[in-house]
Amino acid sequence: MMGIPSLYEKLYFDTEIANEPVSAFLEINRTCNLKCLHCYHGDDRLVFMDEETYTRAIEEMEKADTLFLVISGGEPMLHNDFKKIIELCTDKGFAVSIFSNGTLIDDDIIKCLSNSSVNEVNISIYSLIPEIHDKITAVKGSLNKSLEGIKKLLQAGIRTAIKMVITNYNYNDVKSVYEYCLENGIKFKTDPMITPMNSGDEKPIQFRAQKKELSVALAQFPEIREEIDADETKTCNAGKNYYAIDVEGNILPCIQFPVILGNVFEDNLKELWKNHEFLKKIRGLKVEELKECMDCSVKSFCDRCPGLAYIESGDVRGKAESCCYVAEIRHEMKENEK
Amino acid sequence: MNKKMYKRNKRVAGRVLDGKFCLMNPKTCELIVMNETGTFLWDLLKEEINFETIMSKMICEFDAPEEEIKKDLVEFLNKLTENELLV
Repeated sequence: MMGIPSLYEKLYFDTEIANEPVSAFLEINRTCNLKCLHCYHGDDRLVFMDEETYTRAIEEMEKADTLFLVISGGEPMLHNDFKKIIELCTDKGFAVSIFSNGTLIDDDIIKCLSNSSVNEVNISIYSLIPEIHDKITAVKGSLNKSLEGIKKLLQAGIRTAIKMVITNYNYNDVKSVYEYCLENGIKFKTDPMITPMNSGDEKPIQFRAQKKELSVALAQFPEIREEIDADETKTCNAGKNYYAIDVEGNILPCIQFPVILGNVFEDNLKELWKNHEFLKKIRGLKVEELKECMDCSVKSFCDRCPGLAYIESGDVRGKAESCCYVAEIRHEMKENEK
Repeated sequence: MNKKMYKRNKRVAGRVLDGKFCLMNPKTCELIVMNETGTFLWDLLKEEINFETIMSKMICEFDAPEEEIKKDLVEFLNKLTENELLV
């Protein structure tokens, strides 16, 4: 009479097919206390989402039946209303995950998170060697503070993940961070993609690991090597069951897909989601239309990102050089295995 | 008489998607999709409510023998309590 099966993957798949906005990203500020070399934010960092905007954004997201919500920044815990925002999201029934650097986690934050609907806190760690991590964050002492934050999360029983972006400074450190995660019951997520800033500025690219370095990094983490067996050039979930709201209340297909679809003060999110022409366009995108990608010899190794394609080539159907770069390395690794 | 009061744990995230309540237990990250009856009950549990009141609402809503409803309801509430979905 009252069956309760676990269906997370089915829900995600069904909502993608049905184009239901089940998942969203909320950027509550761009301000950060670290200065990570590869960050996609530009110089417009001194911005916080004001109360009127976050209240409106959260209302619109609730009306649109969004369930999964990522709260991010900048460093979201720098926002004066961070706890208030978490409480509001909890009251409104969102399943929240947080992207943070962990340096500001104190007992008050832990208390707030422990009484909330936050199901995962993702902390950026680049190395367990302070000189390397702090070089990437450009703030001395940041690794120790982040690890202290992680310790507090774990002590409180809050599900924790480490997100490790691979750069030309930390490509040798994947294994040690991965093992630290295994030892401490932390989920490990790694990202080999260094992208231009949302403004198109290519400054972060200089910190991208070189091909040989990235091969070294990827070989240290077995799960990544399994991922590369994908057979198809994929299109992502942006605009299908996922969207973002930026610090100014603008509605975007993804935070790294800088096409402003509308604004929470001017548009009804639910209606916009159904009727926006650009969303219809990206939903209708067929693999055959991705001409450059279709002809690519390493397409089966690619996590193609239409947002990056748009930033880098000005066309959602174009190619994103950042994705090509990683796909070529994965292909080479596979070839070397033979 | 069961005087115990039941209410949703506010930490549990949830939405009605496609007519059914989808819940996420923040502790386990397990997603739970309620069927029609579960959705009816979860809606009642947004406010603090006692067993007898839930029972009377169930009897009005569903065409099933009272004993069967009671047995299922006890099982349902126990399951939700065990999983910390209720307080």
